Amino acid sequence: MCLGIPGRVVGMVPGFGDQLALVEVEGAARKVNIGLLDEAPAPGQWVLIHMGFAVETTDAAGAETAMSGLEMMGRPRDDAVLDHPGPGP
Amino acid sequence: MKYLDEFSNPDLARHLLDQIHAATTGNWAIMEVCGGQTHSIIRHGIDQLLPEGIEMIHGPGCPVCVTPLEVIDKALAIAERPDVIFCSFGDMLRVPGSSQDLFRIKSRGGDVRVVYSPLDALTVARENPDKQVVFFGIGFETTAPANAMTVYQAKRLGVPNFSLLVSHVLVPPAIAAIMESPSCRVQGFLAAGHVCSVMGTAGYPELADRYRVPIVVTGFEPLDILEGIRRTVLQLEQGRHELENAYARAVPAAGNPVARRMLEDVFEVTDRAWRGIGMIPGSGWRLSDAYREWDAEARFDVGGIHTDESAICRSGEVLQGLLKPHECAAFGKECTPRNPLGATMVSSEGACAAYYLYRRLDTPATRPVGAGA
Ligand code: SF4
Repeated sequence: MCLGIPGRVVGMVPGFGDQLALVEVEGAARKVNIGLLDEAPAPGQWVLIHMGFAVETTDAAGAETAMSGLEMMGRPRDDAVLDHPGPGP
Repeated sequence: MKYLDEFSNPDLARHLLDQIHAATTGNWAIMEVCGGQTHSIIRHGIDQLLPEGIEMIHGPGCPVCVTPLEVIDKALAIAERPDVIFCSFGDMLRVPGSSQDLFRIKSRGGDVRVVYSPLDALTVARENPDKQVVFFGIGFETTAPANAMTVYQAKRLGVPNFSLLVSHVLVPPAIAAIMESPSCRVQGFLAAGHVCSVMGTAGYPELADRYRVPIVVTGFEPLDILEGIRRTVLQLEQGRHELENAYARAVPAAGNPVARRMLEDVFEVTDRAWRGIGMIPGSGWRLSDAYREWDAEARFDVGGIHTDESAICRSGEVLQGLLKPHECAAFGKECTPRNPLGATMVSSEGACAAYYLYRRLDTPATRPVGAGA
């Protein structure tokens, strides 16, 4: 329940008071709320997504660590994506 | 029984284990606080690779597991109402209340929905203005910012039919309660890096000092855990008791400032009961006065529900490290992940579920031949 899924920011999308970003998570585009970050992440930035929110910015190595953590907790990568469709508009 | 070649870097794992074996002269009991760490330790058999003198005690760091039965019963009472859409993480659906679970309510036609973000529940509320939509907000410091932000948005957007059933708990007061307990055997702690990334490490140095106990912040990957254990053992052997950070990524001492501001606005500290441990003063959050309107417990008047814990399930002792899961008479018999008697058998972060998945067929006390140095 506590672990984040890594994704890479594509860009901002309108909605929820300008707090929504489109983030690519293992090939699928998800809407993610960025209201818990200091500033809006630039396209290409890796973020950790938790409960529909980007909670941390990270790099490719951090993203890989997070992904293997999810696998260790018994979630195959694809399921991890399906499990976290992100918030609605 | 697990072998080193299953580690991502077996050479490094061997090296860390050698160092742990070489450093250990005493008998030490170390508690890993986080349920993800428990899962990792049992899955990779880390406890079986350590020197005889080191015992890993599995801590209360599973959010599903520490949510009191009473709170589950409150959730069930709310979810049963015909005017309610009850939204929750999937993990909570099979947690047994005193007479049923959310799954049963759903199968009997109750509107219980699994969501992956509290914002999804807020969207459901906006789409169903004639229904009351409740999100079950449980967990540690990690899940609180998302719940806080959602209530903040509910207020900002004016969504009166949304509410949060809050049972949030905090790690540092639990560490203090464990150390204050007369039956405490813990001499060192592994804390969780991803929990500290929200609130920072404030409070930990004082805990280390007050209870003269080493606290090492680390991750939940097997190598992170070995490094955390290595550093804890070195402190114990050298008579030190400090906060150390062994987490791969930097943990900013101040945590995430935006999340902290949001938490301070939306929540206030309150006493919370922990399943298996009991009431711990100042160990949780509830909605602050400004957001009390969105509190499901008050809205549905379920504050009067009081329930006692099950007599058969010994998860309370498991959560305090007084009993290993396979020592419970119901383990693997009446109690399995399919038919759980306690929350520690439901969640993948729960110690009973981890033992069931990875240890059920092992003889309890066996240690692999040739493990360690
Ligand atoms: S094995 Fe089942 S009954 Fe026994 S302590 Fe664990 S959850 Fe409770």
